[in-house]
Formats: sequence, structure tokens, C-alpha cells
Amino acid sequence: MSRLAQGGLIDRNAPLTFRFDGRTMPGFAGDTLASALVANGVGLVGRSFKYHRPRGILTAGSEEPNALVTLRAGAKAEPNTRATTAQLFDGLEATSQNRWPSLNLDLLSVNQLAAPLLAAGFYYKTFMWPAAFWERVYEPIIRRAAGLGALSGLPDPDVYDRDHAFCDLLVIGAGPAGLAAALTAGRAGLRVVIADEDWLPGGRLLSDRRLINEAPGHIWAKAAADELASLANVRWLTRTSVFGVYDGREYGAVERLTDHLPNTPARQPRQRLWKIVAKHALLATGAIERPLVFGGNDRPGVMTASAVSTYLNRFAAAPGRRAVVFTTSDSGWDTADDLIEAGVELAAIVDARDAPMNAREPRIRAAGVRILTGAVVADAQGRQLKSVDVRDRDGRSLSIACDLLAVSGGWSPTIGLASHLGARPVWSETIASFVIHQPPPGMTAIGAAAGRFSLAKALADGASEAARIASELGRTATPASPMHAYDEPVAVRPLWHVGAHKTKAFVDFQNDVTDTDVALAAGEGFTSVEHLKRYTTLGMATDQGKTSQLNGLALLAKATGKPIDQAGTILARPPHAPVAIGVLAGHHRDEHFRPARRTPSHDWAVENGASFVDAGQWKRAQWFARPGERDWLETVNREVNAVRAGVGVCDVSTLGKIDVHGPDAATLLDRLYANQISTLAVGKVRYGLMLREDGLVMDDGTVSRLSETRFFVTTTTVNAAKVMQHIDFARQVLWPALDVQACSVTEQWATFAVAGPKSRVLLQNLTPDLDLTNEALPFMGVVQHRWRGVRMRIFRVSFCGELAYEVSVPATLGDGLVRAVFEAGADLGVTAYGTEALGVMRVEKGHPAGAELNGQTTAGDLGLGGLLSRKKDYIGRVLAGRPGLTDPDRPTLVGLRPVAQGARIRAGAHLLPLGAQPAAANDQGYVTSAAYSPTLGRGIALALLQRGPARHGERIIVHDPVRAGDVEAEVCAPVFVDPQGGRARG
Amino acid sequence: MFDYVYLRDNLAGLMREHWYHAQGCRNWLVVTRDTRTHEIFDAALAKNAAASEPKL
Amino acid sequence: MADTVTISEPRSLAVATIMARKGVNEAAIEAAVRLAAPSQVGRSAPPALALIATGPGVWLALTDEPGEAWPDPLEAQLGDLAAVSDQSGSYLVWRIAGPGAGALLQKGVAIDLHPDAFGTGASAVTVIAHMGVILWRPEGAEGFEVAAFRSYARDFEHWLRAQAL
Repeated sequence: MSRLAQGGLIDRNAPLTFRFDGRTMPGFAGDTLASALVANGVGLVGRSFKYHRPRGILTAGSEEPNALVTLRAGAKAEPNTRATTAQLFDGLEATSQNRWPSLNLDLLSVNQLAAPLLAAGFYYKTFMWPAAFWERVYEPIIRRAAGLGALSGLPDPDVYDRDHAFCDLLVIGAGPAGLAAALTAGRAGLRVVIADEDWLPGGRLLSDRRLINEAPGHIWAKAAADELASLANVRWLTRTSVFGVYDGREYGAVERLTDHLPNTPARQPRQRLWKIVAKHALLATGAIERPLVFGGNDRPGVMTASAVSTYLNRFAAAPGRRAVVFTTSDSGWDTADDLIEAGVELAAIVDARDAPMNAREPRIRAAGVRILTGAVVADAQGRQLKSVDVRDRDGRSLSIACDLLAVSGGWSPTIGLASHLGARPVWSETIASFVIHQPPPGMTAIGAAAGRFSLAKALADGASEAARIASELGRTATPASPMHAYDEPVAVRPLWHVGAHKTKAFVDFQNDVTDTDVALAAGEGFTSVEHLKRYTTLGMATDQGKTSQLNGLALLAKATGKPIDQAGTILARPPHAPVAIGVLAGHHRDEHFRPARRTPSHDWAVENGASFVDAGQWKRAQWFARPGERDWLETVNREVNAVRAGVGVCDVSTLGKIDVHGPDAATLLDRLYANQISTLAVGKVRYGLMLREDGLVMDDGTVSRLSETRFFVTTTTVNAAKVMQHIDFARQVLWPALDVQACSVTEQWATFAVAGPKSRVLLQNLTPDLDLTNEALPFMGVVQHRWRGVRMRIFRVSFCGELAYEVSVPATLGDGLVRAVFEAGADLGVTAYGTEALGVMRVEKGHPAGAELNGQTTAGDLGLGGLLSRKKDYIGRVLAGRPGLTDPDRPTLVGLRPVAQGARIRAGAHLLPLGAQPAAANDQGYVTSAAYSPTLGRGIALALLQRGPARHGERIIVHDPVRAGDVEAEVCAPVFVDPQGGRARG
Repeated sequence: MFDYVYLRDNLAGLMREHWYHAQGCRNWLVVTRDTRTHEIFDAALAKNAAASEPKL
Repeated sequence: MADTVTISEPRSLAVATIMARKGVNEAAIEAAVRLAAPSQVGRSAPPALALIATGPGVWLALTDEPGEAWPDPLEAQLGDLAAVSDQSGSYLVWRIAGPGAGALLQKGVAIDLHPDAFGTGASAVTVIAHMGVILWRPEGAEGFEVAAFRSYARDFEHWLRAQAL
């Protein structure tokens, strides 16, 4: 192995150094990590997943199953990076994986001794006895021994970007077919996006020595790319992998912006997620060369033939000193020619075909290469390859010394993307591989991806398909400039198995699945290809079976006696190649994981020491701690007492608010609410209960009537969007003949509860011109006013049970209002209170809230059965009458008081009769809400208890085995403060 | 009532269903979709659909 | 970003939702607010009011010269033709201008903002970074205007500024 003295597309004027497993080595700009390792003679790059076998580099592309390294160190360390696609940069650091203590001496390779026990599906048959050992012994050991690379465990320090692109044509792959297509389409004025995972354009033109217009293919590719870059209507995405196809002609892609740089500039995104919507797409992803299945085919020194050609031609790196080519197709002969051209000794060509005819044969024979036809390599020998055992056409064995075996088993079109929407590919006998059958809408495969392997066909496909697409879009494509290339033959005779071999023959290299595993699975009855995959794990590694799937299927077909086209094939799923989760998250991480909604008084609340809680997307003030307060309970108790004795203010802007207008608004509301709405007088407010169609309670709130045809509806915070959707459903789907309009005004109004015996005095201070006497604004009424030039509404409603109001102004003045309210109440000891105190007070009053409106309760369960109107039809009426929903044994709302003075009940605890065994059969209900009531000086709770209303006074057990333990409690009416409700009405 | 509440046809093929454009125009649509391929064949404002159409 | 972008401070405008009553067509609404321009975005003779279609029979009306008691005069103008709801508190409006404005917004918007697909006068109700927005290309000015809920202001600003870097 060494660097060739000349040739290659590396920049010999730009030398670099890098470290692999602590060893510093030289490379050049233009190298990949793999090519630099090859040039430095590094043959051993990793250990396999299960058996810890020493592994070398198998390929030169993103299909690489073996050469997985951890790139970089520290927080940016990325495990399972394919060395074959990692662009080398100065100072690159990489370490091998899955070995301990070192790559050369891996003690875990002892697994190989246990190989017979570790065959396919072993974990279904072992580690099962004794049962207790699983958690304590087996699992920890397996965890330590299994797995590929390890994460750093540190937060990802990089920033990720996202963008959207829209185009007439997406070209996936910038090889000859893709470039020809993009040129044709770009020149015709189409909006084109072309993406390639490599940093250089050209695809296979970078790997072989074929000519276009009598010049090296990569020169044509560079000129094509330069022209495309100059067109304003073409977007060129380099280092970009299209990883998924989705509905609606949408494609996902990841652009790697800085992974090839030694340091990421500050604030520069590391990678960018592209969502691309393309009217048409051309799959120009080429084909992947298949390895062959023979003994020792995973040894370091065994490489696919096209990879050998790539290392020689593109990177001027020779993967060995003495080579043998083992091939079943013409392309192996191209590699033989490349080896001779590069001056690497070629000992033999072993072609499994009986009488292959190849134009290169005279030159190769003249170079003194032994040519064996109708022969196979049965075994590769050596911890690192040192010889191969060949079985010739007469069955005789001979050994040939070599340190490089170039293997060519034919080509499989890279069509994974085309099956992402669920269409399985079909078998093509001509090329002995699978091709696309039902591509995603708008997609066509071209060139090698369509099974048309010659360079001339790739160029012609690209130009003609792009011209067809252009004319479909009403543009004319100018005739393509000449692209002459040789239409080389690509005959292949498939050889799925070499026959007898002595050592292990691998099918899936990354998951260590052998040919005997496939036979074992079939023998145990796992004869469907989907079962084969899951039982053996073939195709389930990070490479998704790119080099293994077809070989595995062929062996399965042989084992089950079916022809391959009937054995079926598995689907590929997005992502086509691994994608960092960080790039999918993009901007949405940490505090920006999802947007936060802030109320109009948010800044004021921060100034006043609020602690915040999430209510859906909203940040709500939970309590306002004062210096010296011991804990939140002390704060909340103070707030509750302040409201019940004086006056408190709470921001309730987050509740849903909806304007319902129109001649038929009252009719619609009558059909939506269980209780009567159309009888509501102008200037009045009513509690409203909404049921789902199945009769269970959906939401509650208030309805205010501002005029004959104008209603104002409120909902709970969390159901605001759901109720809006429900109202739209009723208006548009159920009763489109009604003339009613509705829109959300949740954001329009800043609303504050002003509550407590002194609330009227405070509001009178705030609005001296407004008559707020009980006669002018009675309980459940609303008045409108002008305040600082804007509309103000004052609703007299009470959630806490005291004399209370809700004051609203447009949110623009919300901050101004809350400050004005506090000024107006300065002499009254006005106190800010948050959601916690709000919650305590509503439990004290027994008002149902989210915990009770849990989607499983009926109006009757909550003691609201009397609200259900008998005079009209409404959503939920019929199904609420089902026997199961009117069963008197249903758990119904009650209050609970712990018997012991200091005892505490917690929500979620279940209810048992005294003396009953804690068993499901004795379960009589559960606690929905609980709080410490400073008003009563004890804990209280609301609960749903079977036949609850008939059991007031009875003692039951509140059963809480997971938390604090059981508490004895007395059942009582679900209202603890001011049962007559007089305080709110005064 | 049992059929209406608990039983649904599970079609393999064209299905008419309701969609709500929550992040856009807030309109309900009647969409005809092939459940096997997700291809959309028709989309119409629900409020314009004939009153006699079966409601899902 | 290669191209320059200017992002304004968010503004409060006078805003209202207009929802056509049953059977009333667009032309009648526009005539009632004395608009000369076609349905999506238009600037009229005084009062200078922009009308943005946000759905069939639904518009957002915006103006920075509302006069007294907005939206009462608008509501009186429309009479029985439409329902009107004040939304002045609901939205803040940002102006994004400069050669890079479209590219910046395209990062967050899943609708094609290319001038051929989204020209002057075009508008869309869509989502940026999980926040609902209304965006349009105003007549008589270059760049875009974007309206987002007041409650999202801080997070929307954060997204805007992060893209501009």
C-alpha cells in the first residue's frame, strides 16, 4: 500500500496531517480519511459488530459497512462516520470503534470462540435462565460488548440551519447522468436543484478513466459544474445527501457545511436541512458494486473492484502491492487494467464466467497476468490478506499469494429512495438486480440507477429525460452539446455463492451475518424476506444493506428453492444514510424547543418576582414569592388569604376567547352548548357547558351577549384551539346554511381577574365614571366602557367564589392596565396571585377544571346534570343518554376531607371502602384535584366516587401506595367555602 | 346507534374524509384520498359540499 | 447571508377581522370599503386600508391611520355585509426588506416565495418555526410584511434575528 508517484485528483501542493488511533500520518487536500489511510498502508480500521473480527476498508463510497470511525473528539465527536466519505482536513482526529483495549489487540474478539452460540437469532434462544440474571448479569454484559461507536454524552455545541427550495427539477446525483440532465434543464430555463453527497462533481467519472469528448471524464464534469454554477436558475448543493422522499413531491436533504473544516466559524451552521418540493425528480444515484460471498471475504485486503479503481485513479493510493481480481462481470477487468496502469503487480484474474470476452484481455495477458475462467475464489486467507484459495474450472485448488483482492459481483442500481413511499422494486433478469417498478410521483431513474450502466447511456439518459421534462413544462430544450463516450459492455453472470468454502463467508458485513445464518433462518422457517431481515438482522445496520441485501436475498431464494424474483425484497426507509438528529431539530432545541407564548403582563410579572409554569405553550405566573417566604406553600397561602380578605389580581388572558356573530349566532350556540344560550339577555353572562358528540364533557367557559347578534365566548386555556375548530366544524360542515361567523380573539384581549371583597372599590377607583353598583353591574353581567381611548369590558364573573370581576382591554394596553389596577388598589393591599392560588380557590369552591374535564366524565358525573337542557337539541345529547353514561354507579363528584388534621390527599389516589383489600375489584373512584386550603386550615380534595352524592359523611380510604401511603377521609359535598354562593353575588 | 358510534369502514382505496386547515384559512375540507397511495383526488370546501353527503 | 436584509422593529397597527355574512360576495365587501384594487392586497383612497385575504370570505384589514373608535366606522361601512372583530391587540407587524428578504423568510416558510410564485400583492397564512404568521408583499413597497401574534413576539424576533446572522 502506498501513494502513487503521480496521478490522482489530490492536490499535492496542499499536504495535510491527521491522526488515526493516536498515530499521526500525512495526507493531501482532496483525500478522504479512507484514501489517506490506504496511502499510509493502514489495513486494519475497525472490528466487526458481533464477532470483533479485524476489518479493513471494503469500498470507496457511502455504502461502506466496515470502516466506521469516531470522527473528532470532545463534544463534536461523531461515531459511526464512514471513513470513505469523510473529507480529510488538516488536524483531523479519528479513532476506531468497537474494540478494547486497542484495534490490534481486541480482547472482545474472544466472541469468535463462542461463534456457534452467537448465530442468527441467538438472543431469542439464550440468556433466558435464570430469569433474575437478565437484568443484573446478562444485559449489562451485552450492553458493554455490543454496539458500534459511542456518543460523547455532551450537549451538541453546533448550530443547525434549515431552508426550503422549490424547483421544476431536482437532480439527485451529479455523476454523468445527473450533470447531463441538469445542463439540459438549466439551459432551458427550468428551476433546477442538483445535489451530490461528494464535494467534487462527477460521480463515477472521478473513479474511472473513461473519456468524454476524448478528454478525461472529470474534466468534462468540472466544466459542466462551472456552467451550472453560473446559471441563476440552478441551485447547486454540494456535500448534500438527499435522504428521504415524502408525500407531495417533497424531498429531505442534508447539506454538510463545515464538517470538512478544521474549525467551525462561530455561529456558522454545521449542517442545513433542506425541504425540497420538486415537480420532477431524476434519480441519478448510480449503482453500488456487490461483493461476492466466499470464505474470509471480510478480511482486510478484500475490496470491491471499483473501490480499488477509485483509490488508484482518484486518490493515487494503491491498496496493495500484489493483487488478484475476482469478478463475475466486465467491470472487474477495468480494475485489472487500472492496476496495471498504476504499476501494481496483478497476479491473476479469476473470472467465474466460462468464456468471458473482454477487449482488455490482450493487454492484460501481455502484462503476464494469469487468467482463470470458470473459476472462483473459495477462501481468502490471513488475518490481513496474504493469499487466496482458488478452485478452477476442473475443481482443482490452487493458492495465489496476494495482499489485495479486488472483488466484482455485479452492480445494483441505487434505488433505495424510490421505495420510500412503499413501492417494492422488481427483478431484472438482464442485469441480475432490482430496478424501480413504481417510482414516487414525478420521479424517473436515469443511467446506472435505471440499470443502464454504460457511460454513453448515462449521458444520453440525462439529456433526453431533462428535455422531456422541459417540454412537459412548456419550455424547449436546446439540443445538447456533444457528449461522446464509449458505450462499454457491462455483461454480468451472477454468482450468488462460490460453493464449498472453509472459513466464514459474510453476507452483511456490518451486522456480521454469514451465509450459514441465512441458511439457518430459512431452515427454522423464517422464509419470508421480512422475517429473514429481522431474524438475522441482515440489512438492519447503518448501511441499510446496501452491499448485502441482494446477496442475502439470493441465498434465501436458493435455500427456499424459489427464483429470486419471487423471494421478494425489503423496502428501504428514510433516512437513506444516517442523519444527525441535531439537523432535524435545527432551531428548536433547549428553550426554543417549541415557541413560548407570553401574556400581556409578562414583563410586569417578572418585575414582581413571578415564578412561571407552562400551560400548553403559555408561560403563566404560578405565584409571586416575596422575600423571606419559606416555600411556595407559604406564598400561595398568602395569596389566597389576600384575595378572600381583600383584593387580588390574576392574569387570565390565556383563556380562549371567540367572537360569534351573525343572525344565526344564537341558534348555533344553542346547538353547541348543553344548556340554553339563546335566552341570554344582552349584557348578561352565562356559564356554558360543551359536550362532545359522544356525550362526554369537552370544555366549559362563559358566554356573554353583547347584542342581539354578537356573542363573546370563553374557553379553558388548553382547549382554546379545539373549541375554535369545533365551532368551525359546526358552522361549515354540520350547518352551513346558518348565517354565523366566528373568529378567535384570544390574543386581542388582555384580561385580568380582580377578585375579593374589595374588588368593587378598586375598580371604582380605576374607572370613576363607571357605575359599578350591584344594580348597575349585577353578578353574571357585562358592561363596556372606554379607558385611555380603547374599549374596556368588565365582566362580573367569579372563579374563586368571592366578589369578583374580569377586566379586559385590547392587549396593546394590557401592561398599562395591570399597572393602573395596582395603582388603583395601592391603599387596598392589592395582591398579585398566580395559577396556584387560583387553583386552590376553585377547589375550595368545587368548580370543575381540567382535572375533572378529563375526557372521561359526563355532566352528571360533575354534578352538572341539571344544566342539560330538555328543550332543545345540542351536540352530545343523544349519546349522553347511553346506559353506560347514565349508570347511577358511575363515579360522581364529591369533596374529601382527611380525618387526621395534618394529613394530605394527593390527586390520582384511588378510593376504597374502609377495610377493603387494595384490589381493582374494590376500586370505587379516584381523586381528581387536591390542595391545602388556608381558608380551612386543612387539606381538601375533589374526587369521583361511585354513588358519591349519597355517601356524604361516610369514611373511606384514599389509597396511595406509590407515594405517601393511605389516608382515611370523610366524604362531603364538593364545596368547602361559602356553599350558598352569596359572596360572589353581593 | 351501535354501528354509528363504534363501527367504521376501513377502506383500501378512495376515501372521503374531513381535513381542517388549522394553520391556514381555518376551513374544513372534504378530501378524497386513496388510502393505499395517499394520492389526493379531490379537495373541496366542506361548506359547499351538498347537504346530502354522508358525514363522517 | 450574502444579501442584506433589514428587519424593522415590530409595529402595532389598527387591525380587524372581516368575515363575510352568508351569501355576500367579495366584490360587495371591497366596494363597501371603497377599494379599487383586486382581492388580495390593496391600498384604497382614504381611509388608507390594506385588505388581506386569509381565507374564503375572510380578510384582515390593517391601517396605521385608524381614526377614532376603530373598528366602529369600518363596521358601520360594512353594515349587514360582514362581521367585524377588532384584532389590534392580536398582532405585531414586522417589515422585512432588502435583497435578502425573500431568502431569509424562505428559510422558515414552506411556501414558494419566488417572485414568480409570490408576487406583489400576494399573501399567505402559514407557519414559521411553529408560530402562525400572515405574510404578504405590500403594494407600493419592496420586501415583505409579516404579522405574528403578540404573544409570540419574543420568540418570533429571536427566530428572525437568528436567520439574519
